[in-house]
Amino acid sequence: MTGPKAARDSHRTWVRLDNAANIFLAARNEADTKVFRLAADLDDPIVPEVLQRALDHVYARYPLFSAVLRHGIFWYYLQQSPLQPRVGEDVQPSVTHIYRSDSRELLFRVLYRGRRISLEVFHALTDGTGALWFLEDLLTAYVALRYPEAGGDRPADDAGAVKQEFTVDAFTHWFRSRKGRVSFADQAAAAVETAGLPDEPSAEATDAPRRRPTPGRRVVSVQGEPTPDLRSRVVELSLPVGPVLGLARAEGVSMTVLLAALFFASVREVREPRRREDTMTVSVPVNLRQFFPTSSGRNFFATTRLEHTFGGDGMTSLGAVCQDLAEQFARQLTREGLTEKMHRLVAFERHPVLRFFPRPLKDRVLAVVNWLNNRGLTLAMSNLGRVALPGPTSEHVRGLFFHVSAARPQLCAITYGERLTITLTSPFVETDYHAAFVRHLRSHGIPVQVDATRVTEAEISAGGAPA
Amino acid sequence: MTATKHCPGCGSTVLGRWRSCPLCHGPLEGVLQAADEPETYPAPPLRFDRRQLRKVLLVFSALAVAASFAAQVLVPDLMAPVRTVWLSIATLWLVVLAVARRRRHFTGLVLWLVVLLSGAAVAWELVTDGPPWAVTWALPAICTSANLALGLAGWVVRLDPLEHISKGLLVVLLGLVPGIFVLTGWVSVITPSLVCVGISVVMLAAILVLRHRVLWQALQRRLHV
Repeated sequence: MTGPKAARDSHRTWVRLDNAANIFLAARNEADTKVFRLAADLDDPIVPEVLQRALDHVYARYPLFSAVLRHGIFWYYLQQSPLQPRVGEDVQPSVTHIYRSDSRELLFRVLYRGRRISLEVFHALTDGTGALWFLEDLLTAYVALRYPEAGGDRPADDAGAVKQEFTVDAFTHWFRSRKGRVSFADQAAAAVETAGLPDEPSAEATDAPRRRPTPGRRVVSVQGEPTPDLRSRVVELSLPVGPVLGLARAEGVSMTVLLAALFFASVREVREPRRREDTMTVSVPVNLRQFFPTSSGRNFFATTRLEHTFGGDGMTSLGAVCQDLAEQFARQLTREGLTEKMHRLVAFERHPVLRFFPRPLKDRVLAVVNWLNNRGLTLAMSNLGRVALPGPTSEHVRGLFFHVSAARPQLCAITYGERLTITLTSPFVETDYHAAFVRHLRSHGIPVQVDATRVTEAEISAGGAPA
Repeated sequence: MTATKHCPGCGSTVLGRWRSCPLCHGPLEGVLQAADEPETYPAPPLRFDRRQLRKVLLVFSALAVAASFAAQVLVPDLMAPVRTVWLSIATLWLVVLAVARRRRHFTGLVLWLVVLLSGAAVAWELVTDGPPWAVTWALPAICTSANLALGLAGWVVRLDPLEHISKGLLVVLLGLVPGIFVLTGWVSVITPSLVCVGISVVMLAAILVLRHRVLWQALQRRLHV
């Protein structure tokens, strides 16, 4: 435990919220909590006491995770706290609120249920990569304590190493402001991120301008009946990664692009377009660490936006959609393009006039812009890529899972070993496009395992019924 | 091991105790998961409807406010000092409740309490068109009570000064406002205002002398641009 003096000293440490995180405060609402979850299934039921010991060990090495969120007149800031996290049983709906403006709680929680350990994080604290680092260390510590015969390093062996410093802000380090303009839509895009890009097409620098949304286009917006108490509908699909990668290679695109194209096809199959909507859009966050190395665990991503218009012949096949999206993706994924974009974002944030806008006003404006941005978005997706765990840990971890809260359909993917987990979240009751998505995968001979949350009164009642 | 079922409709394998496919809602084939094995995701009962609750609270508050104005009209000869004592006690209780229920965020609540109660007192006086009470009695009483309660609460529950000092300072500064009323001649009895200003000055001096470093740190954060 932290001593009183140390607690007082750490209490003084504070940093302004990083560039990307500000939007999460403005854009969160009752349905979209801006919380994401990383989870792992292990061999045996979780032992809470062991998990608590593992958490205590890892928490000490991640000062960032001791932060609480406060607000000033003009900005939010993270303040280090002397709080100690406690593991809890997973009994609430997934990704429920972590941050409330009148509570000074930690911005993450560690939960257990059956064989599963879940880490839920408020997105203003860190992004998917930062949270994954934490989860990997938590799993390693848990396995070492739970299965000492496995030969993993005992947690106490490197107890002194601090992994994520509190004050490191990669945005400030890499993108000190230069003059430029940026659209609010770029600032307001919300998602986690796409981490690994080893299987992306080569992102060569090009002079081609970024494709701007076609004026007057009609974007497909997936609507539905909101869940009764606004809990997220989570549908978890587990499938072998090999056939999916094979399908992506056959189309000559990355898995991220393939999944977006499959999702578009699924929605088109089950939803009648309203008012002749013919364009679908997807936002795909990119992990900036692969272009701008940093050990910072704080948010560090940029968002790309892809679109496809289903007009005319030859534009509706899976291959045509894949090629169109892949071309746009490659154009946006260049170090130069991302540098320019991030300079504009930072310049926007540091604008001398905007800085003096009171925070509540900034929040309102960003919330409206986020709402407008969501209207022009069919899907948000995030692929954390392939995750490898240390040998002894991997022997006891069966699968990894990842999903986020959503104001619109959201697709999250993570690969571990030979299993790909795709999790679809939405604030709606309907599951029609989920079923269509599964049918598309099955039509390519890919077996799919489904797990889903119960959101309606009827589903919840049926869940408690004896077999 | 988790039992699984097959959905002939969408071709998936379904985990959990679903009797029909959670995606296409068709019937499932296979073995149902045992009831003692938990599903991956918990399914707690639906929460209450927050929007409905807000509606009820709003209606209840509106009715309470309307009733208080009606009482003032029906009993016009309530003595100003008596009402002031009642108001002071009510303010103290509200602050105590705020501390008890929302200990870590109560300074902001007290600030709102002072502003709203003062506004209500002024509105009450305007509506009833009675003898001057709000400026002479009510506002100084509210500010004095809030200042005393704030000081006592901060001391008794040992609040972290860094967390509360900036909003506490605003409450203290509000306590100086009745001094303006005295200078402008808006009050018929000056004692309540002088007491209020006196207590505020003492508290302000205490903050500036004893807590000036903490105050400076708090203001740096709050006013950072």
